[in-house]
Amino acid sequence: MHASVPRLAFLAVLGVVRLAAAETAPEPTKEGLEFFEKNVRPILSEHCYKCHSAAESSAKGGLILDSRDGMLKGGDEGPSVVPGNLAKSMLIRAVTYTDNELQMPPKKSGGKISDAKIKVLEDWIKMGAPAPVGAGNKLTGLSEKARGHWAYQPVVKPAVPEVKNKAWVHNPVDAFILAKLEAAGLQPNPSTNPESLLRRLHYDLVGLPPAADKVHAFSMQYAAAVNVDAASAQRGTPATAVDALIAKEVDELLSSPHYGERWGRHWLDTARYSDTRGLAVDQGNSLFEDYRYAYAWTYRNYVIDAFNGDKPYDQFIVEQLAADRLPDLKKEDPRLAALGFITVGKRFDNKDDTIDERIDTTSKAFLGLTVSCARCHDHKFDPIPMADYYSLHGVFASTIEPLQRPVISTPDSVAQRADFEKRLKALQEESAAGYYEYNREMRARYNREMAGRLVATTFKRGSAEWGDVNERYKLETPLPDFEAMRVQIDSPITGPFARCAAIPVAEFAERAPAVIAAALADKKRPVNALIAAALRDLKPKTIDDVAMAYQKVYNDSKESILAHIARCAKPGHSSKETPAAIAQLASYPWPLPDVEDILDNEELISMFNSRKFCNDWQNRPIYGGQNNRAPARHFRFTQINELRLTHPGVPREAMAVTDAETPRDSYVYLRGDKNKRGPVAPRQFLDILTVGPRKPFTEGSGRLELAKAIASKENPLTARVAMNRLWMKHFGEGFVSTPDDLGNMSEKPTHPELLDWLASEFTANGWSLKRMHRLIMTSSTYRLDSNPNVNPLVVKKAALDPLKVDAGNRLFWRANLHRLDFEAIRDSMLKLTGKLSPVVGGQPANITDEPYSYRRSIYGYVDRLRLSDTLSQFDYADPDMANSKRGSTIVPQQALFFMNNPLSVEVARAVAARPEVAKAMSEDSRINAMFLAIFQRRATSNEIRWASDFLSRERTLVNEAKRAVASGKPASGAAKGTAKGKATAAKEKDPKAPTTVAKDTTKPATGAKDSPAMKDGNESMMEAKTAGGAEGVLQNVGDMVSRNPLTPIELLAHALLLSNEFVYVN
Amino acid sequence: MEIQNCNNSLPTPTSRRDFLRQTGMSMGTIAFGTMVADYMVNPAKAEISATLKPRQAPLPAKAKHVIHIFAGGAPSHLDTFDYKPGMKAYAEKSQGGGGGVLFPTPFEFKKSGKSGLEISEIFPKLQEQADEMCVIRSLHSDLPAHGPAAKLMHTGSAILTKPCLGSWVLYGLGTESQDLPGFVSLGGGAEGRQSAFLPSIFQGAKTSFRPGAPSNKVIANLQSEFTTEEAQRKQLDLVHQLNERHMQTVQKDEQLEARIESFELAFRMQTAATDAFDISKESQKTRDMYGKSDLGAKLLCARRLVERGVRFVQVDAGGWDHHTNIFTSATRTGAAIDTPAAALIADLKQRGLLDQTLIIWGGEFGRTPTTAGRVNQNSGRDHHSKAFCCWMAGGGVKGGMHYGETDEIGSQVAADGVDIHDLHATILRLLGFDHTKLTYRYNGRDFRLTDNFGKVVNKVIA
Repeated sequence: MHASVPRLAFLAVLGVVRLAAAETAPEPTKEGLEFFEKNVRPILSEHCYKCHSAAESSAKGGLILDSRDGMLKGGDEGPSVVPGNLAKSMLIRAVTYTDNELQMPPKKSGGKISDAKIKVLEDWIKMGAPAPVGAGNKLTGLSEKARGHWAYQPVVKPAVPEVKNKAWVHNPVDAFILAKLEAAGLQPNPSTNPESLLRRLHYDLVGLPPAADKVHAFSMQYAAAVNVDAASAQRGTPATAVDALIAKEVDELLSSPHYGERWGRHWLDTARYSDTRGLAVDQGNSLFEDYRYAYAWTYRNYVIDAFNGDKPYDQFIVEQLAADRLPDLKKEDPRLAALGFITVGKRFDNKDDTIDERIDTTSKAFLGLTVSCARCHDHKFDPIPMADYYSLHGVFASTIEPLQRPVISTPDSVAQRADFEKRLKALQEESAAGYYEYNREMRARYNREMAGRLVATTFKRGSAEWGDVNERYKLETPLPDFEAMRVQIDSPITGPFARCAAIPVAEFAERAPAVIAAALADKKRPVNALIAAALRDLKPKTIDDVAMAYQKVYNDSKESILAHIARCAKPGHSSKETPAAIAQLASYPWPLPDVEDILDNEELISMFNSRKFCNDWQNRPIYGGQNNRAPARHFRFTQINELRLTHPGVPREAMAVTDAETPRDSYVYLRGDKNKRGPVAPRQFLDILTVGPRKPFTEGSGRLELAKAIASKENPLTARVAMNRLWMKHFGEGFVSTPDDLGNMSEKPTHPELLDWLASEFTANGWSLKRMHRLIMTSSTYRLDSNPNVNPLVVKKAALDPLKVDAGNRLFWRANLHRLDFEAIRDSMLKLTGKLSPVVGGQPANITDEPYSYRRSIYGYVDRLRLSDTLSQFDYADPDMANSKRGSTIVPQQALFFMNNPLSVEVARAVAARPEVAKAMSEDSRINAMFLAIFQRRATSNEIRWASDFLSRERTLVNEAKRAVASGKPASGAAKGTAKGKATAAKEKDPKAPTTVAKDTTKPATGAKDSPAMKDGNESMMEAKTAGGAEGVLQNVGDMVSRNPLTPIELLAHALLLSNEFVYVN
Repeated sequence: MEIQNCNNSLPTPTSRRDFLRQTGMSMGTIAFGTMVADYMVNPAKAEISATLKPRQAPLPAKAKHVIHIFAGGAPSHLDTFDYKPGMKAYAEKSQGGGGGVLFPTPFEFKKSGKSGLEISEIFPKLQEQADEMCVIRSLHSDLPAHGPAAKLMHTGSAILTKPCLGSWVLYGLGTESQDLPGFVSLGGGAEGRQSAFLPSIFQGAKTSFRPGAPSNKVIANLQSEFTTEEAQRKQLDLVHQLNERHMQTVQKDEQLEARIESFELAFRMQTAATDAFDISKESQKTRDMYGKSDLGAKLLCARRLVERGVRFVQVDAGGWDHHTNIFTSATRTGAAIDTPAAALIADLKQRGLLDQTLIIWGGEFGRTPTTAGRVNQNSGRDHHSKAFCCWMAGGGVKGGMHYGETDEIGSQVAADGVDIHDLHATILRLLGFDHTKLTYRYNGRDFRLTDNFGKVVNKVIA
């Protein structure tokens, strides 16, 4: 291959001097590439790429022709192009049609190409086959250029930049921000007002608005602090009063247990949290298994606790990936719940898809890398070869979920625990009993039809003769809905039948006795005594005679078999009382364990899923149309899961994982195809992120080593990804706008130095997130007003307009106005009802449907298969994969939610029923009280006027309706046919009287820190139940909202909820 | 009207909202949220952003609306649109390889219309529309299981959660309807309306449409159970006053204006959607034409929606999983869609809407040429994905033709195979899109409906 080839004429023209030692010179010359692009690629493109192109994702025969690598490597049959060697280049053999077995392009795709084109290809190979290294002219992730991407370089703490306006800088964050602004000639906005700032602080950290009196107090303190600072400034001493006030507020909020509920939810978006598996009920093995996770919420609660406890982020990572491997693991260690990170994802029928889901989430969540792209080919943009994907594949393939999940805590209430145990036991007994019941039913059918089912096995499935069995044996449920028996030569039951079935029909009568005798004499495969007795002297003419003998045995033993089943089903009774031969008969075709062995739900489920069981049962009795779910009606798997999901007395179990007994490296699956094994990929960390020599993992699956490699200060991505997200959640946009992808496809960071500075601070100070919140939130940058019109440059009408220079506010010259996310909206609404539950932790609740739950939204039950429409309309994170950034779309369905949903009506009623509203002395003070409750501020005089006008108009409407009813004419509202028939009921009510809300308001309104949070498990009853069955969604226990018409006062409160002010933070 | 009165009391009477309303562009302000940032950072991507504003497709095309009738359960191609008269001679013969015996169709076919398109007797009314219909006989996939195959048909992916066809179309074209959701789903699974990683404004609106059920409850929260529309109008007037003040104190902002507009749209939608879903407003003659069945009502409703500018209507018309008794079952299931579908074609045509409305009928796969056991009244067919069919009509499709061929027993594609990506590419082309260019960037990759596959079947395009 290193032989030089004669220089070609056209190369001389091009002035190219080049030897064909292409492999030693991987970077082709510019001229060579030009020749390829101009002359060769058009040919390949026209004739070859349809079937052999990475860009087209088509690689017939494993061959890819749009990259040099692809051509040199070639397809399944070897290299396609050998630079400089026409004879060895399969490409030439194919296009010249010299080989009958290999003619390309194939005749049906246009046939042989022209000689001129062949000549070009030959010339090109002779000149060393220059071509781009990567896929086509696209970037390849394995190039040096891709490796040089900023995010793969070590984090080096940058120096804090110098700025002109030093007074504005409160901490280094400001210096970095201001430096960029000054460089662009921009100026930051002034600070916002204290009311907006407080609202921002509260929604940011706890997801709830501050209480009205809190707002008032803070404003007063803020004004005072501004004065103090002004005085200090005059004296030339540092102005710290406002800073101290804000810092105090931030600290208080950070220590609120609701902080974890807010920021935990952000992490759950990243961790694609869901309470369901995502497999349809009728798919795969979920036939016997509930589609819900019974304990996903223990992971969610772990996350909340981790944030509240400011668990160092590196530990947080390690626990989520490998808590089970921690050296200091204790019994019932709550950290085991962290492993839910791995397990709460979507499940697939194919194990490799589930592993892929875990690789995808792990790499995006912690590293901002899309490693999953390398499942079928090397990553196209990032330096992640396929082998690296399979290195991680081995780690997750060597990770299993234990049958018995570890208990991490038990609820305090003895009564609740006892109640749970009682209910669980009842369901387990029903379930076990269901097993025997199903067995009895099937037994009865087989006793009637066994002969026919056996005979059916002797014909080809689906053949005409096979179909005739239906008629001949008068099968009640015709084939194929009710399938054949399973017949095996080594079975003590069907062994002799299997041997007889092998006798050709013509010789059957003659040979059968000898075959039977041989079967009965076979010591290695002992035959059931009763079967043996029935067959011993049988002189069968046809296989049907043998089958009838079997059926007779079963019928004769019917009573004994049923008695045996009954004995197995009863706890404490031994099936050993049954004669062995009967027990053996009874265990065909299904195993009949003692009830103790299957009482445990997991045991039963795992038995159902075992290969042996499937073989024995063959899934056939349950196959076919409506019979598919027949056994399910006997079992209580669904109800047991529901009980665990909803009963407060359930012991908390962790959705843990553990290492397989013999961890294994995975093979690379060529082109992602499991059946095409490539080289073994040792379990080890990603090459691009490995610092120092790369060593394969040695401890178990390697998860702990993987976790440590991720949670390392040396890892260039981990801290950057975390800080980018933190910034994004505070400011509405990150330095990099794609929080789960910092790879080559992401945009350049707007503030790389600040990102690195934050990342360095973060890792150098114990990976404390709370510390970073504090740092960011006490900066000047955080305090900026959001209004672009107050920017000094805008006010001055300066030539440089920040709205033109940086309309997207990527330089953070102002705060971003943003709509609250669904959780903050709903939680704020619940707070207004006075019924918002202060309980931290606990089991899931339905957060979208009536009867409503008053738990915070993070406790919402998330069904990834049927995500509530309300949630998706409000841009809830898609729980199928890591999604750290929420959309903020505005659709009319959201408006309909506010206008017509019963929850918003209930909130309005609750506000109108507040004593300060209901008992207000005047209309003005009533209106004011409502504004205070909903907006935490007093109404302006205009607003009071608008609101009173509104009230009088609504009252007129009500009066019209009254008069209309009195005069027998429909009121105008009702006349349109949209009055929903109940409008007239409004006339009965005194509009000023407080309306009773549907539910008692037993719990006090609670703010972020108005009342201490109660601890998980203190509530006395189940808050939710499920409607049961396959489609059962979680349903709360409680009352429906009253359908009484809204009074004018309630309509006013309701209108305030529709306003922009209610849902925006500025 | 009320709005203008309300604006008169405010210091800035000419708001952007009014301007937009006057210019008929108000949809444009709705729903841009997330994408605003992308716009600004990457103007190249701004061609298609997350708005519902109607957009001109990049390529010339006739189809502007789609009605996708999903025949879930997998209809037998051999008993509907792929006639194999030669099979009669081979009844009950074993087929090499797979189990079962060959099962010639028990139905008569008719060369229908001027074109002579072969259509089974289970569709007597559709036979009359043959010259509008284009049957693709050579669909194929590798997935003979309902769940994944249905996902593939709707989203182009059997496993991952990807946006469905309707979401892509809405993303590409926006919608012409001012007061209705641009993509309406009349039944069916989530895969038929999910927008997945596309912004949720492109998701199909879930409805509970049933004939006879109150049309104001078809969409969740569509109308208030607690007050009158008149009282709500006054609420919104007040809300606008509050919002204007809020905007003055906070800042003028597109998001805030868009949200204001969304309440007006929602308010109009209360009436408009209630009206659109109320098929009792159709003449008796029209209702008779569609028949009294649920499907008749759904397709009539689909026509009302399309007529009002809705971009994409997804209709669930399943029940085709005929493992046994195909003779009676297919007759029944076929009859259920025959009258409504034929009426839809005729009705759209007489209203001049057929040309711009693409109708697609088809399931997730086909059925085996064989049955288990003997051929008799009980015979049925199992799942089969190697060859199956669908039909399209209107929207610039060539009528009265079939495309693609299967072998003599309808088991394999013999010529001009069309896989699901090809079908999707063709549908997008009919709507004016190059399927390779209708992309959305998500997590570092530009996604398409057709993934990395798909070729347009140009021969079916008029």
